[in-house]
Amino acid sequence: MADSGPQPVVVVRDLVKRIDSNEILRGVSLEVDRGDAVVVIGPSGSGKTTLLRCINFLEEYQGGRIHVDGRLVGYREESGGLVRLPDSEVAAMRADVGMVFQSFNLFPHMTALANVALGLVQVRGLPRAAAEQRAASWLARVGLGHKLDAYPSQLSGGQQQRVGIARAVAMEPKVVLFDEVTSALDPELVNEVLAVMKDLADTGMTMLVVTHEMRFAREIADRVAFMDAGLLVEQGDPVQMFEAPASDRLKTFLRHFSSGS
Amino acid sequence: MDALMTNFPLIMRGLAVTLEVSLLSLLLGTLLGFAGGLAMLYAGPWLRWPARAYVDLVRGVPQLVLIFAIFYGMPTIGAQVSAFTAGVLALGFFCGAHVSEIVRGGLDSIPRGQSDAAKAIGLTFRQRLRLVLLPQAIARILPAWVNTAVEVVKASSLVSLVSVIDLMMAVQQIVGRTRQTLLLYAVAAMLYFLINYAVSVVGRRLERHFAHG
Repeated sequence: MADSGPQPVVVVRDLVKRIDSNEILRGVSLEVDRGDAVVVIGPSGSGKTTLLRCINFLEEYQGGRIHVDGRLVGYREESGGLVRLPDSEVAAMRADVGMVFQSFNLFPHMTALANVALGLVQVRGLPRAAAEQRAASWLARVGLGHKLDAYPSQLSGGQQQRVGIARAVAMEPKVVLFDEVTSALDPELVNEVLAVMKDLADTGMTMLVVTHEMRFAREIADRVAFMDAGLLVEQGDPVQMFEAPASDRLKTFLRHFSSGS
Repeated sequence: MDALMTNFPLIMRGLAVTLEVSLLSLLLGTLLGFAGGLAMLYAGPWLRWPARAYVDLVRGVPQLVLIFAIFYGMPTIGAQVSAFTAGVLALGFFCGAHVSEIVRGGLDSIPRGQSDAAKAIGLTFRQRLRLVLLPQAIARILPAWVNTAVEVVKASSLVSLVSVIDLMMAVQQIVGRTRQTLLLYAVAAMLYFLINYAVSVVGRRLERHFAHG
């Protein structure tokens, strides 16, 4: 790769994802440059979540290529075809791709601290004390320094999601994927989570964010991508996308949000 | 009462054999059960189908048929097994089939998001199982496992039919000599009940231990 110019951390080329005969993704191409926040918007069922899940190989894909930090995700090339990598290699690759989920998915049998420290000990191989120190400092960073020993069931949704973010970023991944992370939250808890994400974006974290929060998208995005029906219809600068959308489909989509946000 | 006092050592030896058969069967069955449950959920077809067939077959056959099939059947293919071993194998297979289904169901009931989150931080399959899925599944596995353990203890009385001198056989021998039918079967019933009561109490204590989160 050339030294000049931004280097893409995530490169998605012509991605095709099928479930049976159903094409969920029909040739999606997208890049995320180092330090950028790219926001993906689009109606439900357009394939946004599936795109994220393919990038850390929670879903297999049938066509195209995904590279993260120059490495092909989930497969190796062999005589023109793709061969699935063994579990241990997929796992090592996933450690460099953080993910935050709509439904938090915290481990209910572990404290907040243990949730964040787990990957640091088991995957990064840090000694427990060092792992807990790093976990505690990330929890403090998301405003939960006083909740280290709380179990997920003792935390509000917004607090749980902030633990989820701390768990992902503590691994120091190359990119963090956010999958509609505020959709399951009560409205009054949304802002505390968005504030944490904005803080991360401001410090140059490479982020790929799927969200329905249009105002937030406009605020943090270096680039916005609009998906519909398994295709990436349009992408570009947030101001241009929201002020002067090129496609009719994006115009129609944005009209639904103009009253609310 | 005399019948009890003079034959007390025989009853205790029988009780010891019953405990031995039960514990060994449970140990074998629990190991088989975890292997079977994991195979049914995660293995390729060449392991998944045999596991499934084993579970369905054994669950549909009476325990006594299993015991006879092993004790009388194995010698016909040239493998002599003692009555005690035949009993432990049969009850172990019986227990294993049930525990397989319990383990499969317990793991299957953990929401997919847990496995997704465990994958997302880079845990390998073994780590996901050991650190994330099994600790949560154990709270769901344990109550059903206790039920199965109780069934195994009760079914252990069937080994008396291939003349293992367990609690049941010991009591029957004493009944044959003394004709104290009611008294002796009451003693046997009480001893079986006490074993199973202890199993339940320990089980409940373990359930409480694992019931956080």
